Amino acid sequence: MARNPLRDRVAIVGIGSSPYGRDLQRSELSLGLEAAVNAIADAGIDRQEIDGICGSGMTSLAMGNAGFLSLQGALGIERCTWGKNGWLGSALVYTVEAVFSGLCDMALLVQANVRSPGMSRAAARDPFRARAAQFAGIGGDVGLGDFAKRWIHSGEPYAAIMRRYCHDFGVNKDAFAMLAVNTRSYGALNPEAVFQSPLSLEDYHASRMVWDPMQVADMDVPCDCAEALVITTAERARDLNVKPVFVHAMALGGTRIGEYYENFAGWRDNSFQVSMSGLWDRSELRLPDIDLFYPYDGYTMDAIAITEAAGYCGIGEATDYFRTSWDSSRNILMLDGRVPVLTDGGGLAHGRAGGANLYAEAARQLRGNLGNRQVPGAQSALIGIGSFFHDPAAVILRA
Amino acid sequence: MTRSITPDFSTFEVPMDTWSEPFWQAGARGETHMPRCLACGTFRWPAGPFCPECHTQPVEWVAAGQARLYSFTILPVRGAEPDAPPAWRIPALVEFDAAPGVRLVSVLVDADPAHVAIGDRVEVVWQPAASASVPLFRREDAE
Repeated sequence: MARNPLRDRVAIVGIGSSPYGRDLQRSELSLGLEAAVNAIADAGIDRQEIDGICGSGMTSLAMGNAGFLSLQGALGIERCTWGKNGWLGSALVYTVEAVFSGLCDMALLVQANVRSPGMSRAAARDPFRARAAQFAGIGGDVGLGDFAKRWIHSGEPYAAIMRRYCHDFGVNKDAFAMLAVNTRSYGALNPEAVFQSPLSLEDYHASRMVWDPMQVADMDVPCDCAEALVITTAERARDLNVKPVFVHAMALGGTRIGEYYENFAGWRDNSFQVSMSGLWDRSELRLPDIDLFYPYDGYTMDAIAITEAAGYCGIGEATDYFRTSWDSSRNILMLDGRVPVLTDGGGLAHGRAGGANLYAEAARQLRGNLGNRQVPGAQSALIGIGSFFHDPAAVILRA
Repeated sequence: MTRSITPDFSTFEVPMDTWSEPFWQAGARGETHMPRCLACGTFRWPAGPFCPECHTQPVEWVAAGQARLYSFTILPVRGAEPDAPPAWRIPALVEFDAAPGVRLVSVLVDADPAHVAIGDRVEVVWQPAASASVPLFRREDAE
């Protein structure tokens, strides 16, 4: 058992979102501010109580966009004793670290995403997106100047890994199809989801091939959106008029292959495995204690590998496991007959929010009162967000 | 059947440093060499100053041996002309029999996308770029 002094000592007390849309014609900062204002109002705090901000981006100190300094200035927050940017799963972990360590007491986490010009031909043709990208200046420093890392788009290594998965375990794409169909079934219940229409297993297999064997239905849907959370100590949370959601345990993960996709060391030696085992080392909870599951679905391959890393089934066994977990009356997965997956519709249907949608949805579910997609009695959520190589976070939240 | 394309690397500046330069020098002679740790024999790629296994610095450069496809993806390439015939680019991960543990990111050229499989034997094609030649690969039995 590893140390876990922060167990249930930090809580999410505010949740706010911007609209999700394919073409909102708004900047990351504009979207992030809307989510932040909503989260602050939801927490019922004076904004001047905020003394730490985690902004959006993979460069921890970058300025501009929806970075922490831009947010602080635009929100008129007088003093912060902590600030940083983060992305994917790590952003929440950084923010909880800061509150637990005492560098701040009331932290605002903002994750904004836009459909950037590199994501599609249509986005590249949009003059607004091209102009906005000129002012971005973040996120482009992975693999620059290194011939060995000249994948043009992260879809390429992921497609190659997906091909390798099917090859190594002798499976077809049925597990990928079930995961995708599951998210679209929930998208139909989420008024903010970019895709409101359900998808059938046949529709999945008929969807456009992008990077063979990866199809368009395997990829999250680029959109303009933001999510924000207000995070504070458990003590302060008890004084507020909201039901707190506690951070029970968390872990990041990295392996010896570092950031070099091509040296992918296989199914037992990747960041999902490290972060999930790190999480279980820090919690007395086990899968039977978990009511909700949120595996990041930037690509379906991620979600399948996270499901296996979490221990729901053995490595390479997701196909059989999903078949026995499939509720064909609702076209959703119910793991072990009981645990729903990606109840907001995930990145595949709700929209590409870099996993921030999963944290927000899990927290909302644990508060309750989420209307027709509320999972009755949900007390705990397991969340895995990130990539095979970098920034995987494994987190358990509980009511 | 249209075969996979050879991307244009003519303006691509190959970044290199003390530790990676021998790779490109061997490439100029048409050979694929990989750096192996002098102390423990672990291959090191991308090339760098310390062995990730034993933290020793010096390496010897050895012939990488038979290349094979570890995995790949097939990307349709849309031509400039609306009625252009279909074309594909095949990004590939290549591993070597004599250099276990490391792989190259590359492109499989001149291949029929319907007849490519994991494990296929491939051979290097050194393609001129702006400052060096870059290693692309072709299936060995491509007719």
